[in-house]
Amino acid sequence: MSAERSDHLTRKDLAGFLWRFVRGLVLLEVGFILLYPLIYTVTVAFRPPQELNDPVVVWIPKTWTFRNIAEVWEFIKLPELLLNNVRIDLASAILQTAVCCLVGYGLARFRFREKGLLFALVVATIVIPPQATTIANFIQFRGMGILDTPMAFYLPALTANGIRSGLFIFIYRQFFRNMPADLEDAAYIDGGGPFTTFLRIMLPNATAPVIIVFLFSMVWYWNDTFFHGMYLDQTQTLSTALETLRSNLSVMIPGIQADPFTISCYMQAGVVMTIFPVLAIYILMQRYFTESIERTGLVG
Amino acid sequence: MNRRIRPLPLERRKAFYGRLFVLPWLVGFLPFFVLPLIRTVRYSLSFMTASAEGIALQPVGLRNYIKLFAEDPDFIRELSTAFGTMFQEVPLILSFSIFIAMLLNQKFRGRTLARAILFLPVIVTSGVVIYILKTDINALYAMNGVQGQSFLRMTALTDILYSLGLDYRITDLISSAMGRIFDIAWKCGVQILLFLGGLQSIPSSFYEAASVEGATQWEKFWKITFPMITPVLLTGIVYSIVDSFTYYGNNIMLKSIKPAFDNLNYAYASAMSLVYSVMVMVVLGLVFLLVGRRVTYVER
Repeated sequence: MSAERSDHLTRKDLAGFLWRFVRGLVLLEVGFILLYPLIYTVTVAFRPPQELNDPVVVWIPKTWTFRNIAEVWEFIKLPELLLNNVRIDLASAILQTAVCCLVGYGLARFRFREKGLLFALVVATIVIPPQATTIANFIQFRGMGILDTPMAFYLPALTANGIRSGLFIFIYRQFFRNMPADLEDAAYIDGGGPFTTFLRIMLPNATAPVIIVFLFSMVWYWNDTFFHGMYLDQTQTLSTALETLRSNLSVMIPGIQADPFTISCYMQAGVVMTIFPVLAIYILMQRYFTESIERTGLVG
Repeated sequence: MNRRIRPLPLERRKAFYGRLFVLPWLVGFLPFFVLPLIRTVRYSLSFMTASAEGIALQPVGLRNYIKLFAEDPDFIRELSTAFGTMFQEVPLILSFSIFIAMLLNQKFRGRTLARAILFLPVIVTSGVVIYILKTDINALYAMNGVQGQSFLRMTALTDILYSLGLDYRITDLISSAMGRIFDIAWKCGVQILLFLGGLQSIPSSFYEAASVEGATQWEKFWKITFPMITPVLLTGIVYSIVDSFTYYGNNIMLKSIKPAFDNLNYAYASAMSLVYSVMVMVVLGLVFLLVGRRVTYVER
């Protein structure tokens, strides 16, 4: 009797062990695929160009060097550009995160006649590629006198019409729709108005979508070159500096065209300089980020 | 007896507040979306000449559209390629994301690390960074190395499947899906995040009750997990479709942007992107018709 039971347990244990093994393998594989470009960028950015062609060096350079960064510093003026990025991209991302939250909440928790239509229009803004209306938008901004000013980024963000705002409204709406109605009713019975209910009851429970939306919004503003190039041509940011780095290098450093290894190293150094602030924020927020996924479920 | 129930003051007040929450979006929607869109439509019906004084429009009726379908040798072919890619990719992306999300949802040592790593590239490599990586010859060479490896493993898999006596069509399908894993994994970040959030929101009591009733894992997935994540599934489908269509490497996107800036042929490009947008909308409309009704929103 007891032998049979233990036998049964071992088989189950074996299955569990196998599953854990397979799971680990899959995660390792996918993790490697996803990390690959990042590892490449970092190791290339900090190695001397001649080691890029060295068959002995695959991942870890023989010597680590900051020379690439120093060379590129002239083209990507980090302190100045970083300030621009914070002023424009970070500010827009914060505005967008906040306002989209309001709109998503309005579409999720209230009943009014034209709600369905408005929601359909929000979806329409996701669907129509922003590239389609770029020139028209450009003319619009020029007419409003906000072209080449940060307002060309702030105003759309403030009105939840910035980069991929539709998607963010959608995410918030799906989240708030799943919140229990009892919470809201309790707040109303206690005499809270809709704004109080939103601020005191709903928002504290919505850290998960807020953090997710903020991270995405920030990254998409930070790494964007298309809208920066169109609407903010006069103000250089890290992403636009990185985009023009290659051509700037070939103009300013004669003979570099013939040396693809140096170009690669310099370009990757530029990438490191552009993404390290985002990376730093992600590493700092990473705990809240992964925890927030955990907390999306309000009631367990 | 008054059969008609008049809306309660509270309901009317709530409707008012609902509109108030959505108002910021509406304020921006008109100048930043509707007006540019109308302008774009007008451009698409015109012949455009740009000069130092500005842009001159000359109405030509539907000629741009006729040219698009009757004269452009590439448009219809590109369009069907874009749709073909979408129909192949979106199911793969969605099932892969659900699979990874379910892995990440389990409890195991190093889960936080696994999550942080899996989302890292999504956070870091977008926009200009991925562009730089794709134009870096050395990076491309290195990445092809990775793809080459998985290609080798893939042929091994195909051989095994053949020797198992599977039909070649099924084998081809599986091996092409495996070959795409590299590309697919890159496009899954947002979806994995959405599904993970969805999985977290399922009360564990549901699973406990199912276990008491003797449900198998398979039944639990189809009877609990799947219906419960349908709201995020809808978001995921919409996002994947739009992403597949507006992806920068998409040929139509390239085609509609390039002529606009290279030859100032913006009128023609407008027509192209409008046709494209309408088609995307039709697809999304079908998705909402087919999937939207099956989405379960749990009232808790």
